Amino acid sequence: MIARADIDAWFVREVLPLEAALTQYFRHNWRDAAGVADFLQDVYLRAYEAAANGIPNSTRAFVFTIAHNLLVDRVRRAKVIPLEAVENLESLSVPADAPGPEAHAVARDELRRLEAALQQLPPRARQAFALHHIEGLTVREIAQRMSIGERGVTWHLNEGLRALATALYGESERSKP
Amino acid sequence: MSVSDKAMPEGEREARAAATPAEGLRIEAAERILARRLSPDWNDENQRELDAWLENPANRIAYLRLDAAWERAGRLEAFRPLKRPVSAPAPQSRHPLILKFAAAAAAIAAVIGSSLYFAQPAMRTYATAVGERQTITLTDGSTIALNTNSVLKLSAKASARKAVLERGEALFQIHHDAQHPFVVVASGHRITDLGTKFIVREETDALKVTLLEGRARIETAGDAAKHRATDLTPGETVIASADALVKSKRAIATLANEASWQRGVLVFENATLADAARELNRYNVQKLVIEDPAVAKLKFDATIPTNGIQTFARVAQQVFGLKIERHEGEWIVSR
Repeated sequence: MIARADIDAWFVREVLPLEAALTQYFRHNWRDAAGVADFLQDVYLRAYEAAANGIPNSTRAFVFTIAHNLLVDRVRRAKVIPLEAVENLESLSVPADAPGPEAHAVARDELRRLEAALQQLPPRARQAFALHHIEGLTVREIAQRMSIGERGVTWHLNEGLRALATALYGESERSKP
Repeated sequence: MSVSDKAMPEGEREARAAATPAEGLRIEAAERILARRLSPDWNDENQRELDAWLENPANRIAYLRLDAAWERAGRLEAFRPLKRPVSAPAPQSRHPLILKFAAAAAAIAAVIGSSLYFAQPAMRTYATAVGERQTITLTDGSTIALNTNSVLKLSAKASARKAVLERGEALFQIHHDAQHPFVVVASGHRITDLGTKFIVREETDALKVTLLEGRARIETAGDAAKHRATDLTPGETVIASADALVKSKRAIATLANEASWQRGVLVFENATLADAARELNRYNVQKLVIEDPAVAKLKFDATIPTNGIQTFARVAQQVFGLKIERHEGEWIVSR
């Protein structure tokens, strides 16, 4: 068994950066794009649990094999089978194990990426996020600044955090095909 | 809590209802992260409760993903304006409302203007794996679609308007700016847009440029004595080698097929099996292999997904009665 802290670190360092490619893969092979969050969660869960028996050498190939198998299962289970899925299923190819642009991230790049992700947030969520992470204000101070209650601040931060994660991992600088 | 409730319009409140189970889990994980990181009175009991919740792997994954994003957002601190002490009191409610907005606007402006704080590297690299596509949108709304297995460098400064295609293929849709023409460099050749939509593709020993709309100029890489330049009009394709430019013209409708990869399909009209196989191989890790010249010469019309090795094999079997054998990632097509 691998220590859970090691699996956690591997998951954050190597699996999460594949989210953009996984999102694109899902959209390309499955007609109902609305289920992408569930798909990602399923892929991550299987990858995380499988890694308990050993961290794979090639995370990309490992994760995409899981993604492929998951789509195969979905097609088998679906009551109404999307025709495109059937057409493409046998030929789903695992993207090559080449480093994507995400592997080249350097500190400055990371800041630009964060900045771009921040711009994609809803206005109130972005404001709350900027006040906390840039200005360093507490929830109470943000509440005063935005003239809303503290729960309202938490609400906007919650929305902001989820949107930021999607912008950072899922769709940053990639448009929908 | 009435204040915060008023701050949440009805529409937003409804939007909070999770569309899918995974999205519901994300909301709960975000709530727990915010409580853990922002509660002034977080205690041992809270921590034990959180630890118990994190024993479930599904919960743990949702939490790790969002917590890593929060952690990364911490680096935004680098954008904090230098002049103001971190702990400076926020403008108090005695100030007129307009000042609060001004303060908030200043915070946002600090984020937007923050790129000025950093020296920019000259070029930024974009890369796609085999089978992958990526669209880059420039600040003026121009787009560059990067096809399978390609590498493109883009000047980081928006005003520089220069791209270098180091490998593969890209479709450029460029907003024309007479003062600042967009320049693409590939295989050493130089393509200058005069308001255009065009495809640049690197082949083994030459560069292929196809103009779909507008006008563009291409100049060869050769030294001054061999320097050649030509202007392209829609429908024209130029094959540029080290010292020559060969131009041909086709109907626009036919040319549109050359951009079909953007939709995830390849359109073959009167194509040989060898050409189609070569094209499909660009998008797939598994490769089609046709060794028999008689098989290679067979012609067909088809629209095949870019990942459609299997579709191709089926056409070969059912339409042409050919055999398919699979060996370690190779699909061998024979009679």
